[in-house]
Amino acid sequence: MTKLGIAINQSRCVGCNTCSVSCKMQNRIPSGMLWNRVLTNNSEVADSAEGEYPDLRRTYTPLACQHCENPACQRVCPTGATYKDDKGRVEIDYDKCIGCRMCMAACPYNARVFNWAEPVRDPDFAYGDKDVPLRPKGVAEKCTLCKERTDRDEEPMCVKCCPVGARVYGDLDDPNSEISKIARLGTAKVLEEHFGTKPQVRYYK
Amino acid sequence: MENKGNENSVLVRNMSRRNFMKGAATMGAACAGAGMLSASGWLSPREALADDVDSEQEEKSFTYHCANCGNPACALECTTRGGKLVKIEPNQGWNDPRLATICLKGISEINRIYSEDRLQTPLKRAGERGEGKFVAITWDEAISTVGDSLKKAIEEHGPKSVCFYSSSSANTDDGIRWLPTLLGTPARRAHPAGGGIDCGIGNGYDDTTGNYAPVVPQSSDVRTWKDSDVMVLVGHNPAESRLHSVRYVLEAKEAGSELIVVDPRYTTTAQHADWWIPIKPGTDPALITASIHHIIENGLYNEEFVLEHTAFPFLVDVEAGTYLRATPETKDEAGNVVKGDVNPFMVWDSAANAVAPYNSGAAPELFKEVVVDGKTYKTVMQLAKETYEGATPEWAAEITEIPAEDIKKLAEKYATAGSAVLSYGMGGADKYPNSDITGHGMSLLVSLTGHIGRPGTGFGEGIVPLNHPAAMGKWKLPEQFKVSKLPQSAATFTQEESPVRVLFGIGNPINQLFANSEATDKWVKSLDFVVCMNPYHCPSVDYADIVLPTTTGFESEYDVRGLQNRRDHAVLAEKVIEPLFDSHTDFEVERMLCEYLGFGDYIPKDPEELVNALLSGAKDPWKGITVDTLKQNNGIQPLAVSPKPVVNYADLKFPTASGRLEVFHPSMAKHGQALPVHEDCEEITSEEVASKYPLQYGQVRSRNRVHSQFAGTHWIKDVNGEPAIRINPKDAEARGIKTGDVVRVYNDRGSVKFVAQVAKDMRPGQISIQEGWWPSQTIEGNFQSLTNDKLVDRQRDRKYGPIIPFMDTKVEVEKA
Repeated sequence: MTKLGIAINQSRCVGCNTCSVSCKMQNRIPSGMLWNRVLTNNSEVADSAEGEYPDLRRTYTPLACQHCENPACQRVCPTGATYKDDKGRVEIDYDKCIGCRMCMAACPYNARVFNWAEPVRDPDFAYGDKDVPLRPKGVAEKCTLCKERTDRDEEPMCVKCCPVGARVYGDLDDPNSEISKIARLGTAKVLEEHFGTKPQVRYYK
Repeated sequence: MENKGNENSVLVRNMSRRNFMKGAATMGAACAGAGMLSASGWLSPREALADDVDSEQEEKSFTYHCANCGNPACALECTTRGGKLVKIEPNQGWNDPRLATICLKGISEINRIYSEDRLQTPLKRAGERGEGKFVAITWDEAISTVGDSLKKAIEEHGPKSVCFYSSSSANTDDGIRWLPTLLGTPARRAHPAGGGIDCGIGNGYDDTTGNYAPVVPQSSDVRTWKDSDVMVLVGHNPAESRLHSVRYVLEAKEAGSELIVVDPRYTTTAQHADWWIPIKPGTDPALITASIHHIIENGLYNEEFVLEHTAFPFLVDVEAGTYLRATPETKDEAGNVVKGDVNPFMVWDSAANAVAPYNSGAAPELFKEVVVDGKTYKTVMQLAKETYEGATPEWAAEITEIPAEDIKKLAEKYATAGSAVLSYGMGGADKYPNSDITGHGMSLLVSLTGHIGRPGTGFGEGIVPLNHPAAMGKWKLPEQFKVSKLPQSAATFTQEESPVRVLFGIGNPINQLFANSEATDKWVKSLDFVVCMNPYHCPSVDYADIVLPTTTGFESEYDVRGLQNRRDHAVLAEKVIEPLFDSHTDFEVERMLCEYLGFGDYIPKDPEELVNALLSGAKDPWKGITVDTLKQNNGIQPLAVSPKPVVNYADLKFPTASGRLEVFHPSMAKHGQALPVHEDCEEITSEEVASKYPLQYGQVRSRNRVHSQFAGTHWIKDVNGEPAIRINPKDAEARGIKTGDVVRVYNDRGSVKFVAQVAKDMRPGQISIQEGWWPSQTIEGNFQSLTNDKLVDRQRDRKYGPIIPFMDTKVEVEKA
């Protein structure tokens, strides 16, 4: 079995959003939309902090689709557009998506975005990966675990471009992979564990 | 989704689910296509649905990025399709995979180079200078007008009337290279040298080491910091300013080095620190001198190092403020420094009970006062002990608002560590009027502790993998051409008489490199002629008489664009795409000007000829590297240098007269700063100012920016949001300000309107903006209208001249 995932080191993450922007380039994400966002934990304003000056704490949580083993989005999708593939990635068949947005209501991670209008891309020529399909108005989209790259045995763009080496990509079903070793660390956790979605994205320190 | 307030809880940044999704429609409106003069249809909107990727082959080309986020770093693998830049990724060809870096800014260039802010054609001013009204002209007219204006100015006012001034890279590494030499004007100024920027700490530090590089590069390769016990970063935020190298600091932390960050705000770097020390803005010299006090009083200095490698045991003539030497000659007839082996510095030989040369093998007394022929001499150490007697941690605690116990603890950690690094950034202490004192004080800390010259030690700005010596060749202009010297820093231009009548600006010098924009405005309007050369219509361009549109680093008329040594690798810059619009490379613009002025024969005919000259004159580490071999190796090849990381001063020999760390600065004696003594920042500590303007105003580094570059880039705005000032909740509440409110920030010099963000990481009493927003991007006004330009007279006697004290600025904020 293959169970692809990403591990993110929150002791290294500096919140720079290089992952978000590299994803935007790779996947031709429309203006004003992101598949990956870097959140500042428990803060109303980006790059703020928890606590009161000078007793402060800050942690960044880069957040995208968690590629859950038990995806809430798949459960509620009426057409089967959302599916889990043979490599453990949660994907969307855009042709089947009817834009009902039940998946967005169900996802505890707010991982999906929606093309409410005709997507505007900027610049508006065909940049990014040549194999990534364009999504039209009326469909949901999200992190695909860089399906086109990982199918070519390349690591996801966010992993490649992270300047501090905070991201690790690999197969959670391979006990000797780097990501599996990280998953066994005491500090490794998943987000919103109580929902039972069993994310394949791990956060550790 | 509830916010449980625990670590697993995730709060959508800044927006509810609804907002976030609605965002797509509104942000899409302001996109590509607006304001294009000659788009010729190639940017017209396409069918969003269609599979619009051309089936033609992808091509790869390789270049390097030079938006100048300090120490050129990243090498880029670029993908093009149909002549358009479609992907940018880090070049993987380094011999250390950690060097394969890129950041959000480099990636966003795909978006940025097609920005609506691109200058598309040469322009001539059509209204008043500063209005920003232009008409399009041909390149012929542009070049001849500029050429004639340069000639006229030089004929009428002499060569010193022309100032070539570049801000930190207009995105290529060329700028103007030869014209200053060919015309005999002063050399092109690029800050730091000659502009009063980024050389504050260097002003004070460099006289100690005798090594003059106004931005003092970190003396040990950052990859050795994992061998350190302690890393002290003062006003340094590499998690925002050095994305390409901050990982080495994090790795050092993982290897057990303690990271200590001194900064008024809880920065992105502070969050990773083992110990963050909040400090009141502008008070660094008090912290430093109190640390010196604590180290001397408690004998925490490294005695052997102090005796053998520093000037602490040297005797000084207290009244004259000079070192005692065998003879009084410090300079010879030619003006060269007389070295210590010729005219030795003197120490007190306790065994002989007499003055003795420092290199005579005598065991010097460290603390000594002696009267000889009626003159009082003290060792520098004795003088230091007396000078810093009052600089107690308790005294400094009042000034810095750091508890005295913490000051002692910091001094102890640094002094007693086996290996320690002291590092500063250019956006913090360097931008205050007392920055030279801070730098001088830091040189004393290094000299007292000996934390230099070994892996895991060192002092400097930034965090860099250091290059091994590997000199390249040069392009030689005929001997008769020489630059002239301008005897004053550009920092004085807006306030004092200068010979300058023509400003040739490359990048955004007018709005970015001068404080107090009202004064800058007046000065620029008084000039005879202003040229601006830039890819983007940045604020400086509005002042130009002639605008020359240049390419970004991805465009070139030529196959080969340039060559650099980056982190011990030869990195080639190839053409990635053709010049956009009617722009030309810096190289080509300069070539056209040189041809017009009759200098065409003296310069390379194309960049490849220049690159070949650099390679053919290069030393051994470059052996075997040619343009062809680089092309075969994806534009990057390692130089044949030692794999051991560079550690400078390993032999503990310094290029001073004595060969030692000369902590006592005679040139500063008349200012009472022969040893560094704390001085308050005038505006920050003025009670009169505080009664009207209680908040200190900082312009800070951001990962989303390189100074004023990337400010309007759409992909960056998608993650950074709109221009805002950040303010602590207490200060906000006192003024009835909430996140999202429009506020006015003002002082006697100017005013500007921004949206406010109430941010807990901000220090009470201090507000900040990300530096470099363009005036067109604020709600109203120019942030630079607020900043302080008052020069410190003492610094005219410093090596790099007076600095512009941007951060010694107080403001008030109110709801607009």
